[in-house]
Amino acid sequence: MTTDERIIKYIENELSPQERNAFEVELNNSVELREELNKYLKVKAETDEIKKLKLNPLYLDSILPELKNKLNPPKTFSVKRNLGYAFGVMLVFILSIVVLKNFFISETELTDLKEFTQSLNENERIELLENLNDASEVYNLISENISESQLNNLLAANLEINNEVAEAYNIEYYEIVDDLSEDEIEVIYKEILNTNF
Amino acid sequence: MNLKTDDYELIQGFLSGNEQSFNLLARKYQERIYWHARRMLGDHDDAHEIVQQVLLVMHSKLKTFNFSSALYTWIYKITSTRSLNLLKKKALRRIFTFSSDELIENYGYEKIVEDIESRERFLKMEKLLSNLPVKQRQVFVMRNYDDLSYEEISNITGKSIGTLKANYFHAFRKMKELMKKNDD
Repeated sequence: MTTDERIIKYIENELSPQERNAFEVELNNSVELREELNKYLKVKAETDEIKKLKLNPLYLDSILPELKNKLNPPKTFSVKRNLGYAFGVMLVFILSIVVLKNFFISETELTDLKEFTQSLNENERIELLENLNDASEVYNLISENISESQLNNLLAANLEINNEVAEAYNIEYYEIVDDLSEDEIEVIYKEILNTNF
Repeated sequence: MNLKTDDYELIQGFLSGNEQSFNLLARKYQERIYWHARRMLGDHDDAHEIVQQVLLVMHSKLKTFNFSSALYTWIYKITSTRSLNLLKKKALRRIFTFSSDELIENYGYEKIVEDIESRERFLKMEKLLSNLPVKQRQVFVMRNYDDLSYEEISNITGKSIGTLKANYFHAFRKMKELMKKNDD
């Protein structure tokens, strides 16, 4: 057994009675052994002193409230969750606007169309019809035989317009034509050809 | 009424819905949990985190406590395991961030010890302890600070008494050398 082992066992009270007696005899006769023992005892003494330290009561009092908060967390603002809600609300709002717009505006667009066609001068109307079908015979037919009021009625009666064109007050008439479907153009063209001027 | 009976009644009270019983248990053990974690980790914030973790585990797992050992043994086991896990995590973090192995100068002692002289003593010992390998530190802390027997430490750590004694011997000797070096 090394000296260190014997000292530690002595301090820890792990030596047998015989070993303990022998160690104490040696201790009385050896300055080095006493010095070594004192080094170990100093560690013990420091440890014992530190052991007496008490935690600040204010700190101790703060432990349980913090734990309770963790066990019952207050409802906090969650950016992620609330962004999800916000996105959903916005989506519903936008869809509502689109549906309502389509519902209300489509009613008025047809009357707006008549006003629109009436606002065109003759040349513009002819150009519109030319665009409907690039046929010179139509141009000739219209330019020679159709009156302004007849053309107005014709256009107003036949132009079926989609929702974007409903905002046509602010666009040129040929833009309306661009928005017409092939079927719509065909209907208008046939109507013009079959009209008995 | 002995300590164990006292704990038994508090646990039964808590399990039957009395939250105040848990509060009493927490108050009874929180300081011991703190000091063990603090001596193992050498940092106030880490020790505080361990206290919170252990109390949370107690709150959720006390219903599984079967009284085959003393409650404080069970609590030490949780505290010790959590502290070691945190030490491992911190060691890994140090490796991946290429930071120093030195103890981070974040003692937080002003929050917990009011007496200045005691603080200095405490810091000195804490620095010395941080130089011990983890297994040696663990047994040294449990023996000298927590006053646990080798049997209790063996029950908590799962190590044999022979291994614990060997670790304790090396820890004690190293502490003696470190203190001597520190004084010189």
